[in-house]
Amino acid sequence: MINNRINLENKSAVVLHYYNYRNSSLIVNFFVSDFGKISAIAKGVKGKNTKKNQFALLQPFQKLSVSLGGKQELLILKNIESTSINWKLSGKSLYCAYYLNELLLRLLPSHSDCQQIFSLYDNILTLLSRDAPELSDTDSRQQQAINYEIPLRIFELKLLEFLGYGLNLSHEIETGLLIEADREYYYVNDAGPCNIKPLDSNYCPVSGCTLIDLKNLQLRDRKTLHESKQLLKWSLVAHLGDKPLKSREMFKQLYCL
Amino acid sequence: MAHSPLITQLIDSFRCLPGVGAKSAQRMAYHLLERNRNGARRLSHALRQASEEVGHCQTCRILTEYEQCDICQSPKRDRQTLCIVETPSDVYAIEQSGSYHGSYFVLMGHLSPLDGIGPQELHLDTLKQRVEHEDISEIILATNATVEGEATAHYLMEMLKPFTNKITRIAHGVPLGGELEYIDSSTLGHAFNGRQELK
Repeated sequence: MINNRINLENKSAVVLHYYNYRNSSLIVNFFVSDFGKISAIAKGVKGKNTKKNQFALLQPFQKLSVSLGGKQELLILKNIESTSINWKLSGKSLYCAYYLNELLLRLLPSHSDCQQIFSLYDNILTLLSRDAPELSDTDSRQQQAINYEIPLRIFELKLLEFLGYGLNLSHEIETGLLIEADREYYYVNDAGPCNIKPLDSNYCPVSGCTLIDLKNLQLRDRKTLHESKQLLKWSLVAHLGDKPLKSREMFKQLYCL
Repeated sequence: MAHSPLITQLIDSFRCLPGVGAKSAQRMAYHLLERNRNGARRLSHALRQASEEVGHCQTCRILTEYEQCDICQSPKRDRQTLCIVETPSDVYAIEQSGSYHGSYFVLMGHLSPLDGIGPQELHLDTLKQRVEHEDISEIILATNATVEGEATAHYLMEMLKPFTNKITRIAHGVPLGGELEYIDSSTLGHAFNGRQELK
């Protein structure tokens, strides 16, 4: 008989999202560094006269050490501890962090070693939490928007790479020639950039300069950032399916106030 | 032995209550039928009347059977201070503290980007209209101290900033009778960031 019991002891993890379950329990989606995405029931953590400390620890955006166990897809939370100082996210950086969590909830696999993405998530939330103070004048606000966008683009690019859908940013698909900064390209899904406009509409126009900057992870100006955003958004849609990202919609509404 | 259809129906109906499972529902049903038929009649009458007549206050959206709730009608309340909370039970908790005498607005939930609960679902347009048309000097954001509560407070702050001079957020920190060594690090962090000068 196959023993499919899962036992994870003192693993580095973060909470991606939680749902209320019955009166005082939660169903929590954890991102465990060397296991990927997994759901667990946290029993009796809500309400009066319960393990109140645990409910505070189960809020997203904190680095935790968790012990989970069980036989089914839905495990039981056995122990939880905080391992470091929390990321202090507020305002726009909080909405950006929600976006990362939604991407991970939708795309992250289970039962696989995700330490690379876990440390990237850690670095990016640290970057976002540094930019927390809101700036007032227009130039600073623009600079702040760039500060928010760069980590998000790097995360999207690395996540696609990790999932095995990495972008081809170095050479043309037909000729094999290296990408040139001053040329315009058409990125074809699951293939790469080409310099002849494809017959079907499944492509994303992008400049050579943006492809090179993305490859070197140096997103310097507004144009490169805008084109990178379009290219990565378009590449992610292919894997996310028709259902739109809710956190992205809410972020748009927040900016349109 | 199976219960008769009417008793089964009664037991199943009790199970819609939070924290009531099959066993508790059965005890409640038998208690009412065996020992307290008058209580059962009163309960059914009260349930029918409340479920048909109770709606939302037109001003603060708290649950009431009148157009305006007692708090909104009271001439003693300070109309220039508005406290925004997530649920009607939060209003009763604040009222019990006895330290607030202004008016309220109940969101009936919180923004949750990952569950698709956005500004439309929380009727934030009604709140915006109210703040635009009333002379409000302070808005207190009393959403829960959860990440979703913070996200809601930030959204409300951005939305209401043009209409009032002062927007405040309730303090988070050490509870009364709390011992520092047992308090989680994020609560303690909030308590330190929000420390006050002793005068």
